[in-house]
Amino acid sequence: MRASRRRTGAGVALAAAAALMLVTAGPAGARDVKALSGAFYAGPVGPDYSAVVGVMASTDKKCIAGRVIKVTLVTGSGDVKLDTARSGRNGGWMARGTNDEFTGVVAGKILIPAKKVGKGKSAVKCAKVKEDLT
Amino acid sequence: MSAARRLAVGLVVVAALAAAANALAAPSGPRAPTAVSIEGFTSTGIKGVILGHIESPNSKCLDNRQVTVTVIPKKGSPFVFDVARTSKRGGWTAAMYLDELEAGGQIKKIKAEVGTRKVKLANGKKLSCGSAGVALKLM
Repeated sequence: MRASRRRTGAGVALAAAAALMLVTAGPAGARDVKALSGAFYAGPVGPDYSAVVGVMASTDKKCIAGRVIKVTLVTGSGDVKLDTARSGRNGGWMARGTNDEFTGVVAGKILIPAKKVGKGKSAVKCAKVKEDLT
Repeated sequence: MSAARRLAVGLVVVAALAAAANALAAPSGPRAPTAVSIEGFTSTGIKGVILGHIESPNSKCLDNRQVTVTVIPKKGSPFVFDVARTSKRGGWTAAMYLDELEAGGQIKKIKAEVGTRKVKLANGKKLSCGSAGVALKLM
């Protein structure tokens, strides 16, 4: 009786652990993959415009292409949304604005929303990226 | 009627029906041209990078356009450097590993081409964004 109770208790604990794993792992097969914006330049491009430029980096190529990159400039008087860029096949992206928009900028913020690529077991969940540029 | 004549008449009818269907399916909407330009080259240390932008009198034609960047070497066949995507304001960046780029040999010309795109408008019509291309000859 005692042994059976112990077994039942262990069973409940295992079931709870399995349920917790399902909740944290998400849909079967999907795995979280981290990425970086790879922002490497902020400054003039041509006589009238400036830009923030980057090349996405990730351990999984699926998380590099087709990402949405939201760039915000931080000025002394508040945040200004600059542009929403999209990464190309090899991860390159550019957020663009006029030179005037870059005047008085002290920092920048990058937000790349999470993205799921593929279906079923081969699905990849590309994690959200949040970066501060100084 | 000979078989050849029947076939010819049939083809004319099919072509006319296809044209009519096309006209019904796609109501003529506004058009806007696109221009593409290459702004410069740089490197991340690992990847060679080409920067550029597109312009259009209609801002709806700027976002999410596909820009194919092709390298034409002095010797050998042209190869695709990258397929970039434009931002809401038309900026794009193409990238390629430097070792892969160097394997292609000396560069003669770089081409950037953007294809046509149709954007659905609120009134149901489709805005037709034109294609464009630019070639930059390297010394």
